[in-house]
Amino acid sequence: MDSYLTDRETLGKFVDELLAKKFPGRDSAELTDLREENIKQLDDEIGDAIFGALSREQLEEFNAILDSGEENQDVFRNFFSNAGLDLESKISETLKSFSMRFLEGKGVENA
Amino acid sequence: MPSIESFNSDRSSGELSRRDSRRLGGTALNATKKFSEMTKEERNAFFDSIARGSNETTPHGPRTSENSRNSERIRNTKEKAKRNSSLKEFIARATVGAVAVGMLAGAWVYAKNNEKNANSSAPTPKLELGDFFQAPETPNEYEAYNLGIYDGYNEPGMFTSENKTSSVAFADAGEVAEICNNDECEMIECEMIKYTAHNQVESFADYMANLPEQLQPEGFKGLSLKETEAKLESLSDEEFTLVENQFRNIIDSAFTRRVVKNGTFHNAFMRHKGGDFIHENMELVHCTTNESNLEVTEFYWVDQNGNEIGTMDVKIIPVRDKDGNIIGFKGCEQVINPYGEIYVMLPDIPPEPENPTPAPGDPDPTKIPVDPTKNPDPTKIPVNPTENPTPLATKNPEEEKRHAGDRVDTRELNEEITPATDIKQDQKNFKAIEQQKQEDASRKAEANRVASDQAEKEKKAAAEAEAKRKAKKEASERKAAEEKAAEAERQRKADEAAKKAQSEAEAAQRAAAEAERQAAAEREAREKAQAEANARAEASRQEAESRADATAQERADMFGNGDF
Repeated sequence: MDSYLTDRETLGKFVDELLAKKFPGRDSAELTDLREENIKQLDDEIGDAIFGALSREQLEEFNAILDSGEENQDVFRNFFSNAGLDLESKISETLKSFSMRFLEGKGVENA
Repeated sequence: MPSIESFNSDRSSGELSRRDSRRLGGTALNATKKFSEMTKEERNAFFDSIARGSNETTPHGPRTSENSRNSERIRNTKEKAKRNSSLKEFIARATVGAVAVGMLAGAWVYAKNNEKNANSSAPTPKLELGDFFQAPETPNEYEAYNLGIYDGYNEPGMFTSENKTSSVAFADAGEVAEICNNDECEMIECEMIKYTAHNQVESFADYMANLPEQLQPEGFKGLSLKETEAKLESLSDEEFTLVENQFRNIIDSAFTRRVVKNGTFHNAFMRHKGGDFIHENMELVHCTTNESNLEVTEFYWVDQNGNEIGTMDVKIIPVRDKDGNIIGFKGCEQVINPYGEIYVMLPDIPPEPENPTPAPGDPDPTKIPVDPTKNPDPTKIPVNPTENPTPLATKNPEEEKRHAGDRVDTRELNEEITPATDIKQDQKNFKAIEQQKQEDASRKAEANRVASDQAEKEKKAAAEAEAKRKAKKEASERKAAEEKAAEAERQRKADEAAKKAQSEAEAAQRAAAEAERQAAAEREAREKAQAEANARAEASRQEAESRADATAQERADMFGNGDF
């Protein structure tokens, strides 16, 4: 199991778009390290955004579910729904924020 | 909640404001600590705190330990979550959806739209006036705005009819110049200047008088600026609208390009004579400027054979602060003419006095000290009213005050026309040229009047109409081609985005299918286990029954049928 919370390949495509926009004409090989850093950073930020949106009690409840070894996605779906957290919107916000910071030069961008 | 941007000025000062300190509530920071002294982490915490608002801090002190514990909990949860494949898949699906939708909408990748579009080969985005016009906010801006841009539309003056005025902000091309200070934006800027020229009211006459004569509307050919102005004023609203439409068509048919000018040029300026900034206190004057590497937008027109038939150069005057530093380009546009070539257009404007005297209390920029080192060029030619005291066609002093013209940063004017002291010969030459040109102008005007027989007029009108039609057609075709190219580019982008979305959707589908397959496998396994359990239960039950039957049989064998 990889060390990412979400799908690395999807994040990779997203970061590729940003890199292409930020550094037009640069060889992708030159940007390999930067790409990996940003994928990791983005994955972290998505995790922070999701779990940071939960209250302390909700977080404890969620930890209990994870500790139980629950593998049923319906359980997770119900949990987030009951917590009032729209996962896709939250991720979308994070991607947008990341994108803007990156393009404005405040992200991990030292190529 | 104030945005991060609202803190920019505080950041730049290098010191936290009281407001920031309150917002931080001391969170991991000393409230008096300079921003420049903060560590990277402290700066991040500072901005994060501002971005998230004050609800994460208390007025009583830091919540650092609580925040730290919370971060620890989140980190632990993330690590656990990463080990749960089912949850990861659930989050991955949401991510795929978010990315696909976002890319389709172009919401993130093109977030920094203005700058990035300028650097791309994409078609120029459509510009709106509102994109560039911004009301002054700071005191400096406000003053520059007031001084640099004459806003006398509602004052009595040149165009007293409300139908001949407009509330459109005319300085927008200057705004574009400020924003688009690079080669990539050249085309936008030039086109914006063209567009702005459409809306010129104050300097309408300036433009009209400086159009190539072949293109000038009938009745305006060969007129000086002041004659043009007077003629415009004399028109009824309906007639004015007709002329205005003609003018706009002419401007529409122009091509534009950026050119660099060097040398001495005639300029027409609106100057503040002192007192309040009202129309009566403004006057149109002319002066010469010595330009070095001046970038101007050149309008040019071509005939049906593609031959250039005339040009008109327009420059944007920067706005300066009290120290003479350029602080923006909100100044007006003005037509400039090469010295000695088209002077005929400007004979009746009062020349620039040597030492303009401001009125008491006047914020006139003539009070601004001009650093002679900033303008050391001795070739600049002054116009001395003592040597040329009677400007041509200055018939009515009151009328002089009612000039419309360009809005101008008069401080720049003041700087540009700083008199030199050692060029008397040039002054004499200038005077001679000026007189010669004035005579030429008079002769030309007379010749125009005499030579205007009807047949010639009709012939000219027909030729002009044809040229106009062709020019308009070309402009229309050019516009259509540009729109077509823009549409193709939009379509290409849409296709690309759709393709990406499709790709992402397929990935999502594959992931869903895989999940479904796993779920089915799990279900099958569960059913199989259930069946096995059932089978085992059934076997147990049967075994129990067998044992019960055997026991009953044994009892029966032992005790018969119960009959002892």
